[in-house]
Amino acid sequence: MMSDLPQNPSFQFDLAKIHSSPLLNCVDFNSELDSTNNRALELSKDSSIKTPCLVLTPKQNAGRGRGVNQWWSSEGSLTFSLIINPRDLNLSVETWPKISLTAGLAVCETVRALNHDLSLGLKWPNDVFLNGKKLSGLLIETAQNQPERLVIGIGININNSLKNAPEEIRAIATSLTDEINQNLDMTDFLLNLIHQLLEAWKSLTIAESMVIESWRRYCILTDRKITVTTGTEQLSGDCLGIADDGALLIKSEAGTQSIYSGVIDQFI
Amino acid sequence: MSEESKKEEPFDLDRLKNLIELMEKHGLTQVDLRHGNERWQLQRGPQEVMQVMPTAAIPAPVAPAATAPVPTEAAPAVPDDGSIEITSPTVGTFYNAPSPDEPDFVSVGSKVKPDTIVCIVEAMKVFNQIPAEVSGEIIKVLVKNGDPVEYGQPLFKVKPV
Repeated sequence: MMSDLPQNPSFQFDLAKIHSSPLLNCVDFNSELDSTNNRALELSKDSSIKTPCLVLTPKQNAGRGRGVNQWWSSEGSLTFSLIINPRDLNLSVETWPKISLTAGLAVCETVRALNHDLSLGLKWPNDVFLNGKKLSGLLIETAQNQPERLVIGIGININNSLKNAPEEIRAIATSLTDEINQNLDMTDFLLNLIHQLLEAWKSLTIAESMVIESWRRYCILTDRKITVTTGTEQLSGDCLGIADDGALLIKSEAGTQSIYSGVIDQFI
Repeated sequence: MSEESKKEEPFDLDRLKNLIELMEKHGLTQVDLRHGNERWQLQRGPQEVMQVMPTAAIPAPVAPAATAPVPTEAAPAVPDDGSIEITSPTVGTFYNAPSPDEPDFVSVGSKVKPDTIVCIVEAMKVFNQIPAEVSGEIIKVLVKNGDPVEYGQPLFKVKPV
Protein backbone atom coordinates (compact mmCIF):
# COMPACT_ATOMS: atom_id res chain seq x y z
CA MET A 1 0.00 0.00 0.00
CA MET A 2 1.36 3.41 -0.94
CA SER A 3 0.43 4.87 2.43
CA ASP A 4 2.89 2.47 4.06
CA LEU A 5 5.79 3.80 2.05
CA PRO A 6 8.14 6.40 3.50
CA GLN A 7 6.96 9.96 2.86
CA ASN A 8 10.43 11.51 2.77
CA PRO A 9 11.65 11.43 -0.88
CA SER A 10 15.17 10.65 0.32
CA PHE A 11 13.92 7.33 1.63
CA GLN A 12 12.06 6.29 -1.52
CA PHE A 13 13.10 4.04 -4.37
CA ASP A 14 12.45 4.63 -8.06
CA LEU A 15 10.79 1.29 -8.66
CA ALA A 16 10.32 1.84 -12.40
CA LYS A 17 14.07 2.38 -12.76
CA ILE A 18 14.86 -0.70 -10.67
CA HIS A 19 12.42 -2.88 -12.61
CA SER A 20 13.91 -1.77 -15.92
CA SER A 21 17.52 -2.40 -14.86
CA PRO A 22 19.25 -4.93 -17.13
CA LEU A 23 21.21 -6.15 -14.09
CA LEU A 24 18.18 -7.87 -12.58
CA ASN A 25 15.91 -10.63 -13.83
CA CYS A 26 13.46 -10.37 -10.95
CA VAL A 27 12.46 -7.71 -8.42
CA ASP A 28 10.45 -8.39 -5.29
CA PHE A 29 9.53 -5.12 -3.57
CA ASN A 30 7.81 -5.15 -0.20
CA SER A 31 6.68 -2.04 1.69
CA GLU A 32 7.68 -3.78 4.92
CA LEU A 33 9.49 -7.01 5.83
CA ASP A 34 10.84 -8.75 8.90
CA SER A 35 14.02 -9.68 7.06
CA THR A 36 14.87 -9.51 3.36
CA ASN A 37 16.96 -12.68 3.75
CA ASN A 38 13.97 -14.58 5.16
CA ARG A 39 11.85 -13.43 2.23
CA ALA A 40 14.61 -14.28 -0.26
CA LEU A 41 15.07 -17.75 1.24
CA GLU A 42 11.32 -18.30 0.95
CA LEU A 43 11.33 -17.16 -2.70
CA SER A 44 14.33 -19.38 -3.43
CA LYS A 45 12.27 -22.49 -2.75
CA ASP A 46 10.63 -21.77 -6.08
CA SER A 47 13.12 -23.06 -8.62
CA SER A 48 11.47 -20.99 -11.36
CA ILE A 49 12.60 -17.70 -9.76
CA LYS A 50 14.93 -15.98 -12.19
CA THR A 51 18.27 -14.72 -10.91
CA PRO A 52 19.75 -12.30 -10.06
CA CYS A 53 16.65 -11.48 -8.05
CA LEU A 54 16.43 -8.42 -5.81
CA VAL A 55 14.38 -8.50 -2.61
CA LEU A 56 13.95 -4.94 -1.41
CA THR A 57 12.15 -3.13 1.35
CA PRO A 58 12.37 0.42 2.71
CA LYS A 59 11.37 -0.91 6.12
CA GLN A 60 13.02 -3.98 7.62
CA ASN A 61 11.89 -4.79 11.14
CA ALA A 62 14.07 -7.71 12.17
CA GLY A 63 17.17 -7.89 10.02
CA ARG A 64 19.40 -10.73 11.07
CA GLY A 65 23.12 -10.82 11.64
CA ARG A 66 25.35 -13.65 12.78
CA GLY A 67 23.75 -15.84 15.47
CA VAL A 68 21.37 -13.75 17.56
CA ASN A 69 22.70 -10.42 16.24
CA GLN A 70 20.16 -8.06 14.70
CA TRP A 71 20.70 -5.32 12.13
CA TRP A 72 19.59 -1.99 13.59
CA SER A 73 17.76 -0.35 10.72
CA SER A 74 15.66 2.75 10.32
CA GLU A 75 14.11 4.62 7.42
CA GLY A 76 16.77 5.69 4.95
CA SER A 77 18.96 2.65 5.47
CA LEU A 78 19.39 0.38 2.48
CA THR A 79 18.42 -3.19 3.29
CA PHE A 80 18.13 -5.75 0.54
CA SER A 81 18.92 -9.30 -0.44
CA LEU A 82 20.13 -10.56 -3.74
CA ILE A 83 19.39 -14.10 -4.86
CA ILE A 84 22.08 -15.35 -7.20
CA ASN A 85 22.84 -18.61 -8.94
CA PRO A 86 26.52 -19.31 -8.21
CA ARG A 87 26.65 -21.64 -11.22
CA ASP A 88 25.79 -18.76 -13.54
CA LEU A 89 28.89 -17.05 -12.18
CA ASN A 90 30.97 -20.26 -12.38
CA LEU A 91 31.46 -20.22 -8.61
CA SER A 92 31.84 -23.65 -7.00
CA VAL A 93 30.98 -24.39 -3.35
CA GLU A 94 34.64 -24.07 -2.37
CA THR A 95 34.67 -20.45 -3.55
CA TRP A 96 31.52 -19.40 -1.69
CA PRO A 97 33.40 -17.91 1.28
CA LYS A 98 35.13 -15.60 -1.20
CA ILE A 99 31.74 -14.44 -2.44
CA SER A 100 31.37 -13.10 1.08
CA LEU A 101 34.72 -11.28 1.11
CA THR A 102 34.05 -9.89 -2.35
CA ALA A 103 30.64 -8.54 -1.38
CA GLY A 104 32.21 -6.33 1.30
CA LEU A 105 34.78 -5.17 -1.23
CA ALA A 106 32.00 -4.22 -3.67
CA VAL A 107 30.34 -2.06 -0.99
CA CYS A 108 33.67 -0.27 -0.43
CA GLU A 109 34.15 0.33 -4.14
CA THR A 110 30.62 1.68 -4.52
CA VAL A 111 31.10 4.15 -1.66
CA ARG A 112 34.56 5.12 -2.93
CA ALA A 113 33.06 5.96 -6.32
CA LEU A 114 31.03 8.71 -4.61
CA ASN A 115 34.30 10.68 -4.52
CA HIS A 116 33.97 12.07 -1.03
CA ASP A 117 37.49 11.26 0.16
CA LEU A 118 36.21 8.92 2.85
CA SER A 119 38.32 6.61 4.97
CA LEU A 120 36.96 3.17 4.10
CA GLY A 121 37.99 -0.16 5.54
CA LEU A 122 37.02 -3.82 5.72
CA LYS A 123 36.89 -5.83 8.91
CA TRP A 124 37.22 -9.51 8.09
CA PRO A 125 35.23 -11.14 6.68
CA ASN A 126 32.97 -8.43 5.25
CA ASP A 127 32.03 -5.60 7.62
CA VAL A 128 32.52 -2.23 5.98
CA PHE A 129 33.90 0.56 8.16
CA LEU A 130 33.76 4.26 7.42
CA ASN A 131 35.88 6.66 9.47
CA GLY A 132 36.35 3.94 12.08
CA LYS A 133 32.68 3.03 12.50
CA LYS A 134 30.55 0.29 11.00
CA LEU A 135 28.67 1.31 7.87
CA SER A 136 27.53 -1.99 6.44
CA GLY A 137 27.00 -5.64 7.37
CA LEU A 138 26.43 -8.69 5.21
CA LEU A 139 25.03 -12.15 5.75
CA ILE A 140 25.04 -14.93 3.17
CA GLU A 141 22.84 -17.99 3.35
CA THR A 142 22.09 -21.00 1.19
CA ALA A 143 18.53 -21.74 0.28
CA GLN A 144 17.23 -25.02 1.61
CA ASN A 145 17.39 -27.73 -1.05
CA GLN A 146 18.22 -25.23 -3.76
CA PRO A 147 21.95 -25.60 -4.31
CA GLU A 148 21.70 -23.20 -7.21
CA ARG A 149 20.59 -20.34 -5.02
CA LEU A 150 22.64 -18.14 -2.69
CA VAL A 151 21.08 -15.30 -0.74
CA ILE A 152 23.28 -12.29 -0.04
CA GLY A 153 21.75 -9.99 2.56
CA ILE A 154 23.19 -6.48 2.82
CA GLY A 155 22.45 -3.62 5.18
CA ILE A 156 24.03 -0.19 4.63
CA ASN A 157 23.39 3.02 6.52
CA ILE A 158 22.83 5.55 3.75
CA ASN A 159 20.32 8.36 4.46
CA ASN A 160 19.44 7.26 7.97
CA SER A 161 21.17 9.67 10.28
CA LEU A 162 22.22 8.02 13.50
CA LYS A 163 22.26 11.33 15.36
CA ASN A 164 19.14 10.31 17.23
CA ALA A 165 20.15 6.67 17.68
CA PRO A 166 21.03 5.27 21.11
CA GLU A 167 24.51 6.23 22.31
CA GLU A 168 25.75 2.61 22.18
CA ILE A 169 24.84 2.50 18.48
CA ARG A 170 26.40 5.89 17.66
CA ALA A 171 29.65 4.81 19.32
CA ILE A 172 30.16 1.95 16.87
CA ALA A 173 28.14 2.76 13.74
CA THR A 174 27.77 5.54 11.23
CA SER A 175 25.80 6.39 8.09
CA LEU A 176 26.81 8.01 4.82
CA THR A 177 24.56 11.02 5.38
CA ASP A 178 26.23 11.66 8.74
CA GLU A 179 29.68 11.57 7.14
CA ILE A 180 29.06 13.58 3.98
CA ASN A 181 26.22 15.81 5.23
CA GLN A 182 23.94 15.15 2.30
CA ASN A 183 21.36 12.60 1.27
CA LEU A 184 22.09 10.20 -1.57
CA ASP A 185 19.83 8.84 -4.29
CA MET A 186 19.00 5.41 -2.84
CA THR A 187 18.07 3.93 -6.23
CA ASP A 188 21.31 4.98 -7.94
CA PHE A 189 23.39 3.72 -5.01
CA LEU A 190 21.55 0.39 -5.03
CA LEU A 191 21.95 -0.18 -8.77
CA ASN A 192 25.61 0.88 -8.68
CA LEU A 193 26.20 -1.56 -5.84
CA ILE A 194 24.46 -4.45 -7.62
CA HIS A 195 26.62 -3.73 -10.67
CA GLN A 196 29.76 -3.76 -8.50
CA LEU A 197 28.71 -6.99 -6.79
CA LEU A 198 28.07 -8.85 -10.04
CA GLU A 199 31.31 -7.59 -11.58
CA ALA A 200 33.30 -8.49 -8.47
CA TRP A 201 31.92 -12.05 -8.42
CA LYS A 202 32.74 -12.46 -12.10
CA SER A 203 36.28 -11.26 -11.34
CA LEU A 204 36.64 -14.07 -8.79
CA THR A 205 36.76 -16.65 -11.56
CA ILE A 206 39.19 -14.79 -13.80
CA ALA A 207 41.35 -12.65 -11.52
CA GLU A 208 41.03 -13.99 -8.00
CA SER A 209 44.46 -12.78 -6.91
CA MET A 210 43.56 -9.22 -7.92
CA VAL A 211 40.38 -9.41 -5.85
CA ILE A 212 42.36 -10.58 -2.81
CA GLU A 213 44.95 -7.82 -3.38
CA SER A 214 42.18 -5.20 -3.54
CA TRP A 215 40.70 -6.60 -0.35
CA ARG A 216 44.06 -6.36 1.44
CA ARG A 217 44.25 -2.64 0.68
CA TYR A 218 41.06 -2.11 2.69
CA CYS A 219 41.88 -4.51 5.57
CA ILE A 220 41.73 -2.61 8.87
CA LEU A 221 43.01 -5.50 11.00
CA THR A 222 46.46 -6.01 9.45
CA ASP A 223 49.28 -5.36 11.95
CA ARG A 224 46.83 -4.89 14.81
CA LYS A 225 46.37 -6.98 17.92
CA ILE A 226 43.10 -8.85 17.63
CA THR A 227 40.97 -11.25 19.60
CA VAL A 228 38.80 -13.72 17.69
CA THR A 229 36.20 -16.17 18.92
CA THR A 230 36.17 -19.25 16.73
CA GLY A 231 33.39 -21.65 17.62
CA THR A 232 34.06 -22.35 21.28
CA GLU A 233 37.63 -21.05 21.43
CA GLN A 234 39.12 -17.58 21.78
CA LEU A 235 42.39 -16.61 20.11
CA SER A 236 44.54 -13.52 20.50
CA GLY A 237 47.53 -12.38 18.49
CA ASP A 238 48.87 -10.11 15.78
CA CYS A 239 46.85 -10.01 12.59
CA LEU A 240 48.93 -10.66 9.47
CA GLY A 241 46.07 -9.80 7.12
CA ILE A 242 44.39 -12.38 4.90
CA ALA A 243 45.81 -15.39 3.10
CA ASP A 244 45.40 -16.00 -0.63
CA ASP A 245 42.38 -18.20 0.13
CA GLY A 246 40.73 -15.44 2.18
CA ALA A 247 41.48 -16.87 5.63
CA LEU A 248 42.36 -14.43 8.41
CA LEU A 249 45.93 -14.91 9.60
CA ILE A 250 46.77 -14.58 13.28
CA LYS A 251 50.27 -14.89 14.68
CA SER A 252 50.49 -15.89 18.32
CA GLU A 253 52.88 -17.88 20.52
CA ALA A 254 51.33 -21.02 19.03
CA GLY A 255 52.44 -19.96 15.54
CA THR A 256 50.46 -18.54 12.64
CA GLN A 257 46.91 -19.77 12.31
CA SER A 258 44.44 -19.47 9.44
CA ILE A 259 40.93 -18.59 10.58
CA TYR A 260 38.01 -19.44 8.30
CA SER A 261 35.22 -18.76 10.74
CA GLY A 262 35.10 -16.47 13.71
CA VAL A 263 33.98 -13.21 15.24
CA ILE A 264 36.49 -10.42 15.84
CA ASP A 265 35.82 -9.43 19.45
CA GLN A 266 38.49 -6.79 19.69
CA PHE A 267 41.11 -5.02 17.60
CA ILE A 268 43.55 -2.44 18.96
CA MET B 1 40.80 -60.49 -24.36
CA SER B 2 37.53 -58.95 -23.40
CA GLU B 3 39.38 -56.24 -21.40
CA GLU B 4 41.04 -55.07 -24.60
CA SER B 5 37.75 -54.60 -26.40
CA LYS B 6 36.35 -52.66 -23.46
CA LYS B 7 39.18 -50.12 -23.66
CA GLU B 8 37.83 -48.87 -26.95
CA GLU B 9 34.37 -48.17 -25.57
CA PRO B 10 33.63 -44.56 -24.47
CA PHE B 11 32.87 -46.04 -21.08
CA ASP B 12 32.39 -49.46 -19.55
CA LEU B 13 28.66 -50.15 -19.35
CA ASP B 14 29.04 -53.17 -17.04
CA ARG B 15 31.04 -51.10 -14.59
CA LEU B 16 28.47 -48.30 -14.85
CA LYS B 17 25.65 -50.75 -14.13
CA ASN B 18 27.54 -52.12 -11.11
CA LEU B 19 28.12 -48.60 -9.83
CA ILE B 20 24.47 -47.67 -10.14
CA GLU B 21 23.48 -50.84 -8.29
CA LEU B 22 25.98 -50.01 -5.53
CA MET B 23 24.63 -46.46 -5.29
CA GLU B 24 21.07 -47.75 -5.01
CA LYS B 25 22.06 -50.37 -2.45
CA HIS B 26 23.75 -47.82 -0.18
CA GLY B 27 21.38 -44.93 -0.85
CA LEU B 28 24.15 -42.83 -2.40
CA THR B 29 23.07 -39.83 -4.45
CA GLN B 30 26.46 -38.82 -5.77
CA VAL B 31 29.64 -40.59 -6.81
CA ASP B 32 32.78 -39.01 -8.24
CA LEU B 33 35.43 -41.42 -9.48
CA ARG B 34 38.78 -40.71 -11.07
CA HIS B 35 41.24 -43.10 -12.63
CA GLY B 36 44.06 -41.69 -14.71
CA ASN B 37 42.51 -39.35 -17.23
CA GLU B 38 39.07 -40.85 -16.76
CA ARG B 39 36.50 -39.27 -14.47
CA TRP B 40 32.97 -40.48 -13.78
CA GLN B 41 30.43 -38.34 -11.95
CA LEU B 42 27.10 -39.97 -11.18
CA GLN B 43 24.20 -38.25 -9.49
CA ARG B 44 20.87 -39.66 -8.39
CA GLY B 45 18.46 -36.83 -7.59
CA PRO B 46 14.86 -36.95 -6.41
CA GLN B 47 13.83 -37.44 -10.05
CA GLU B 48 16.38 -40.27 -10.40
CA VAL B 49 18.26 -38.30 -13.03
CA MET B 50 21.63 -39.84 -13.82
CA GLN B 51 24.56 -38.24 -15.53
CA VAL B 52 27.79 -39.75 -16.75
CA MET B 53 30.42 -37.18 -17.62
CA PRO B 54 33.78 -38.46 -18.81
CA THR B 55 35.95 -35.34 -18.70
CA ALA B 56 38.09 -36.09 -21.75
CA ALA B 57 38.73 -38.61 -24.46
CA ILE B 58 39.92 -41.71 -22.68
CA PRO B 59 43.30 -42.98 -23.81
CA ALA B 60 43.89 -46.71 -23.42
CA PRO B 61 45.48 -47.16 -20.03
CA VAL B 62 49.06 -48.44 -20.19
CA ALA B 63 48.83 -50.71 -17.16
CA PRO B 64 47.25 -52.16 -15.18
CA ALA B 65 43.99 -52.22 -17.10
CA ALA B 66 41.75 -53.94 -14.60
CA THR B 67 42.24 -51.86 -11.43
CA ALA B 68 39.16 -50.30 -9.91
CA PRO B 69 38.63 -46.54 -10.14
CA VAL B 70 39.90 -44.67 -7.08
CA PRO B 71 37.15 -42.91 -5.11
CA THR B 72 37.86 -39.26 -4.35
CA GLU B 73 36.69 -37.20 -1.37
CA ALA B 74 33.09 -37.04 -2.47
CA ALA B 75 30.31 -36.87 0.09
CA PRO B 76 28.90 -39.09 1.40
CA ALA B 77 31.66 -41.59 2.09
CA VAL B 78 31.20 -45.28 2.94
CA PRO B 79 33.10 -46.55 6.00
CA ASP B 80 33.79 -50.26 6.56
CA ASP B 81 30.81 -50.89 8.86
CA GLY B 82 28.26 -50.26 6.08
CA SER B 83 27.22 -46.89 7.48
CA ILE B 84 27.48 -43.75 5.40
CA GLU B 85 29.27 -40.60 6.47
CA ILE B 86 27.98 -37.12 5.70
CA THR B 87 31.02 -34.96 5.14
CA SER B 88 31.64 -31.21 5.15
CA PRO B 89 31.84 -29.56 1.71
CA THR B 90 33.93 -26.65 3.04
CA VAL B 91 36.14 -25.58 5.92
CA GLY B 92 34.29 -23.63 8.58
CA THR B 93 32.40 -23.87 11.84
CA PHE B 94 29.78 -26.57 12.42
CA TYR B 95 26.38 -25.50 13.76
CA ASN B 96 23.76 -28.07 14.68
CA ALA B 97 20.84 -25.59 14.78
CA PRO B 98 19.60 -22.72 12.56
CA SER B 99 20.24 -20.28 15.41
CA PRO B 100 21.29 -20.56 19.07
CA ASP B 101 17.70 -20.51 20.35
CA GLU B 102 16.27 -23.07 17.94
CA PRO B 103 16.24 -26.89 18.17
CA ASP B 104 18.92 -29.02 16.50
CA PHE B 105 18.39 -29.92 12.84
CA VAL B 106 18.92 -33.62 13.63
CA SER B 107 20.17 -35.85 16.43
CA VAL B 108 20.91 -39.55 16.93
CA GLY B 109 17.84 -41.50 15.84
CA SER B 110 16.61 -38.85 13.39
CA LYS B 111 15.41 -40.23 10.07
CA VAL B 112 16.81 -38.31 7.13
CA LYS B 113 16.11 -38.11 3.43
CA PRO B 114 18.53 -36.77 0.82
CA ASP B 115 17.06 -33.26 1.12
CA THR B 116 16.94 -33.15 4.94
CA ILE B 117 19.11 -30.32 6.28
CA VAL B 118 21.41 -31.79 8.92
CA CYS B 119 23.57 -28.82 9.91
CA ILE B 120 25.09 -25.50 8.88
CA VAL B 121 28.77 -25.06 8.09
CA GLU B 122 29.77 -21.41 8.24
CA ALA B 123 32.89 -19.89 6.72
CA MET B 124 33.45 -16.16 6.35
CA LYS B 125 29.82 -15.46 7.20
CA VAL B 126 28.48 -17.75 4.49
CA PHE B 127 25.97 -20.00 6.23
CA ASN B 128 25.84 -23.16 4.15
CA GLN B 129 22.95 -25.49 4.92
CA ILE B 130 24.13 -29.05 4.44
CA PRO B 131 21.62 -31.64 3.14
CA ALA B 132 22.01 -35.31 4.13
CA GLU B 133 22.16 -36.46 0.49
CA VAL B 134 21.29 -39.96 1.72
CA SER B 135 18.26 -41.71 3.18
CA GLY B 136 18.66 -43.36 6.55
CA GLU B 137 18.96 -42.88 10.29
CA ILE B 138 21.54 -40.75 12.07
CA ILE B 139 23.52 -43.15 14.27
CA LYS B 140 26.30 -40.81 15.38
CA VAL B 141 27.01 -37.07 15.44
CA LEU B 142 30.76 -36.83 14.99
CA VAL B 143 31.28 -33.14 15.83
CA LYS B 144 30.01 -30.70 18.45
CA ASN B 145 28.20 -27.43 17.94
CA GLY B 146 30.79 -24.72 17.30
CA ASP B 147 33.58 -27.14 16.31
CA PRO B 148 35.87 -26.11 13.46
CA VAL B 149 35.60 -28.57 10.55
CA GLU B 150 37.82 -29.28 7.57
CA TYR B 151 36.92 -29.91 3.95
CA GLY B 152 35.73 -33.51 3.61
CA GLN B 153 35.59 -34.10 7.39
CA PRO B 154 32.91 -36.63 8.43
CA LEU B 155 30.10 -34.90 10.36
CA PHE B 156 27.48 -37.63 10.82
CA LYS B 157 27.22 -41.39 10.51
CA VAL B 158 24.05 -42.60 8.84
CA LYS B 159 22.66 -46.09 8.71
CA PRO B 160 21.24 -46.30 5.19
CA VAL B 161 17.75 -47.65 4.50
